[in-house]
Amino acid sequence: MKFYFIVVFLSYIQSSILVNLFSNGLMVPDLVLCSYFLELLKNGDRWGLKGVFSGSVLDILQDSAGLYISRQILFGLIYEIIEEKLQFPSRISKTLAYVIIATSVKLFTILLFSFKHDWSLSPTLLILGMFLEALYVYRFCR
Amino acid sequence: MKRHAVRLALLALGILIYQLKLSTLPILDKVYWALTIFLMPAYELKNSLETKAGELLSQYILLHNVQRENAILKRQIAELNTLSAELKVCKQELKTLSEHTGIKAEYSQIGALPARVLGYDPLGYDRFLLIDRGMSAGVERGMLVIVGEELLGVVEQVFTQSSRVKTLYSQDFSISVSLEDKAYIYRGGFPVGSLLFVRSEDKVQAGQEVVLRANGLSGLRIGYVASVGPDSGEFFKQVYVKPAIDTRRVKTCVILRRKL
Repeated sequence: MKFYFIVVFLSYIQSSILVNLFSNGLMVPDLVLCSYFLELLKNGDRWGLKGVFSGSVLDILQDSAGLYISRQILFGLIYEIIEEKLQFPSRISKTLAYVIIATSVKLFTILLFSFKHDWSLSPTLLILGMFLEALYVYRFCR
Repeated sequence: MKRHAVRLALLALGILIYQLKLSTLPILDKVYWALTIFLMPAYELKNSLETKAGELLSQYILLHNVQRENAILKRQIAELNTLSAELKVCKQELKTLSEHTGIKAEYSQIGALPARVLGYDPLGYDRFLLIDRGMSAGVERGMLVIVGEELLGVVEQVFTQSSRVKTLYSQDFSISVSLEDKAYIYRGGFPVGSLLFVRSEDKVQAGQEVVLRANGLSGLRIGYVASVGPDSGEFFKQVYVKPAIDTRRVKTCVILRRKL
């Protein structure tokens, strides 16, 4: 239950405050994704419902029906596949796994968004966002 | 495998919803409308947070810029204060120099060039002087030559390293002058020059000062009225002017970069 409250809270922060700082929703450090990853590490997400929920909240708040849901589902899917083959014994390995999965998932999101909209990508902000996410994951994972 | 299949299906559905904008389909319109009403407080809260955060961010950026601008301005003020102090010292030095050399400070705006006298008129008529500044120093024909506040003459000929100055004693020298607010023409001569076209009714007395009449250089002394000729009943009268400067005593002079 705690996860759902955190997701709602972080979604609010992300889509109202952080959007102002990073100028674009796609370049914002995705704390909801981080929380989802931490939840996957801790309790898992058997049917992907937590992913759907966290994606839905973001989609509702950012008015982008489908974009974040599909991203969260893809993230969960890749995580499940990797988890079957690999184990993450330390905080660094978990953070690294997050960075790899999140990067691929973000590229997917950017691709999906670019099919519909014309926009300018800022690599600096994107990297800064990723760095903050990695820091968040490293800080809160056990 | 089943779990993956469910996830893949959800993923495909998510992409489909996003790409085809299924949420805008008429069939889902009422659902969407109901959802919007239900979520309206959440949207309002989000918008209010977004606005507040945007305002705070703008204020922060503005304040940050103001602080930076303030620091720059403070530095500029400090620099200007230093410059101002330096300027005051320079002005004081300029005044002292001006007093010592007899060169008016305002001539520096025109451009002044000090020169030494190399030679005098060998015939003793003081019609010209030879000075040690010439073409190489930027001297040009027609430039005024002064000593203190008195006019010495005009550059007549320019050589590479020297120049010849036509003095107030030369008969070829003529210039516009003022005497008691009236303008006349001074023509040089030795030992006295004369004022041309002075009407009989003009009140001219011996000892009156004759000064140069030129924009920005007014006040340069030419000489004093030496004598006034007797009233002969003619339209003009004779007025003789003794140049204020004794050419023979001049060792140094100043060339003003200003032509007449």
